Amino acid sequence: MIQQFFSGLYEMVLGRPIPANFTNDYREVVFPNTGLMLFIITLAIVILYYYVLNRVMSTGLYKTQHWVMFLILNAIIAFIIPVTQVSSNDIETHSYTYMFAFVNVVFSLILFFVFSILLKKGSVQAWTTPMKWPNKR
Amino acid sequence: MLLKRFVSYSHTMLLCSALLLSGCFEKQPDGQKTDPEATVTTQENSAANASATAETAASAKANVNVYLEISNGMKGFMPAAAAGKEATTFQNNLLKLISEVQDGRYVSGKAFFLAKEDAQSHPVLDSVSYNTMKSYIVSGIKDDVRGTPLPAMLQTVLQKSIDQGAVSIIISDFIHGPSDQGQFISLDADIRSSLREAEHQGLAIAILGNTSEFFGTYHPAVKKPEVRRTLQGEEIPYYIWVIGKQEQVQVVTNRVLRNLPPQQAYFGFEYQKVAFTALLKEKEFRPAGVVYCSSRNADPCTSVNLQPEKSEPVEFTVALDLSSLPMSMQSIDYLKKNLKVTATGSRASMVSVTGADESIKATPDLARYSHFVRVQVPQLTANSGAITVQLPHVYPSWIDKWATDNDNNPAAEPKKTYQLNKIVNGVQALYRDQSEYVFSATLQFNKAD
Repeated sequence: MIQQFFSGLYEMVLGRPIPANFTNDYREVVFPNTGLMLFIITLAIVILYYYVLNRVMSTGLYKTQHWVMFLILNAIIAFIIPVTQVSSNDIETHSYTYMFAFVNVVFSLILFFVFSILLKKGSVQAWTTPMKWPNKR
Repeated sequence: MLLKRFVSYSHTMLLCSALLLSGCFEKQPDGQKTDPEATVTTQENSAANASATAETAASAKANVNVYLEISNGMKGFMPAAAAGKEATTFQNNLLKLISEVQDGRYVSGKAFFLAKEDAQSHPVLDSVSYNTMKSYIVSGIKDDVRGTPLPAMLQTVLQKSIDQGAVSIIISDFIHGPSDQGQFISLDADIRSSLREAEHQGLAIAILGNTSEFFGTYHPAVKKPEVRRTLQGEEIPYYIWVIGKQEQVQVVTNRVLRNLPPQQAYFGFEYQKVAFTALLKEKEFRPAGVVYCSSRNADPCTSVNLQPEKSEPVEFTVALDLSSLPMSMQSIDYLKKNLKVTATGSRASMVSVTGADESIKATPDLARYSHFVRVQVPQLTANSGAITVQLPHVYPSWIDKWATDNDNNPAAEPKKTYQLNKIVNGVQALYRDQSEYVFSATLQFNKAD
């Protein structure tokens, strides 16, 4: 189920894995691993930013530029994971690999934003980062 | 209070994520599978391997009966030795052969027979010692044996070997010399009947054709215009037939006879199990187009998913282990000519056949395969089907070249045997209905989604 979801998600944008002989390695290992890690790491960083740094610890990293820093940190991780996944599974690297990493970065940006919107309400210092909407008060 | 709960909550989250990250969808190397099912199959495999090794070890030796035909027609192959006179090819080869049978490590039991006929044209087998046979070969045949009733001789020889559980090695010029000339017409049927028991017992036949210089009186089957001719070193064919269980025949051809002549024919040979796999991830055999193994870690991979496009037909390599086939069938030229790729649910064709070179032999995953067949699939006609690589039984082309309808003048038409094609046809008819293919390897395929 998870395998199909993630391979469907990535192949929707990227098309069939290239080289084709590694299709099953991508579908059964690389896509689901990368997708799950993307989801979990992004969630972890968003929680770290809003609840640890800007609630428990009150570090003063509540400005939008700090938020962008974490967004970029997450994006870098999102680029590294697919590349290491591909190479650690003995799959030939191809421009497809880097396209895949790039798409993963785009996904990470979207996901980071979505998690931020959903979770920022619970933060004490950063509830208006990156912007006030949709929170009122 | 709320704060504390949040801290512990976030800790739990981090812990969960860490666990998830480390655990999910690890690619396992083939050797380290831990699920019980896989372990069981591995054990079964190794058990099967062990029994296979035991089998080959047991069959690596053969009981051998050597039958040398000593009719007058054979005398020219074995002229009496004299100082300064070179031995004929026949003499050299035969001496090597019987010495290998006598002292070789691949022969467990052995017996030597001289095949001749009695006054009533019935075949007679004289059991002799190694030394007697050797002296016949080096110093010539002293007996006066008129003809060779070929079918009767084969039948007697075969029965003797079956009774003794031995592989027969029959050496003769295979020129039929019947008392009744009418027998020439039914030669193929007679040969077939005489060897019927071989087919019943599941025995295989290897025919090896060779030539040797011939010094002396030559007795052609066709008696006109000359009843006999005196030859001074013309090349006359002689044949070695090996009859026995397939694996034992191979022990004899590969390890006892060793240097086989290029003229070889095999009948009743069949290989139920030939190891094969589709090679999809090897750098040496990069596939083209959309094709991948249906199962990610399958080894061997016998099921593939493919999706040929108009602009990019699918092409991939099937590796086969044909090392147990007779040598002549392993030759690349032979396979190129005769190997067939057929398919249901798709159009498939063979692009090339290559043998294993040194770099392939050094690659552990590839070392167990001896031949590599490149297969092209330009189009699918169904969503699933099968692609089969098979080797049909082929009537060897040299037989017709070596056969003649008139062997009266071997000097003008060398290297021909009277009605050889008829003799071989009789043998072939025996096995015609047994199986069409020496081996076949079938790959399943599904259309890739």
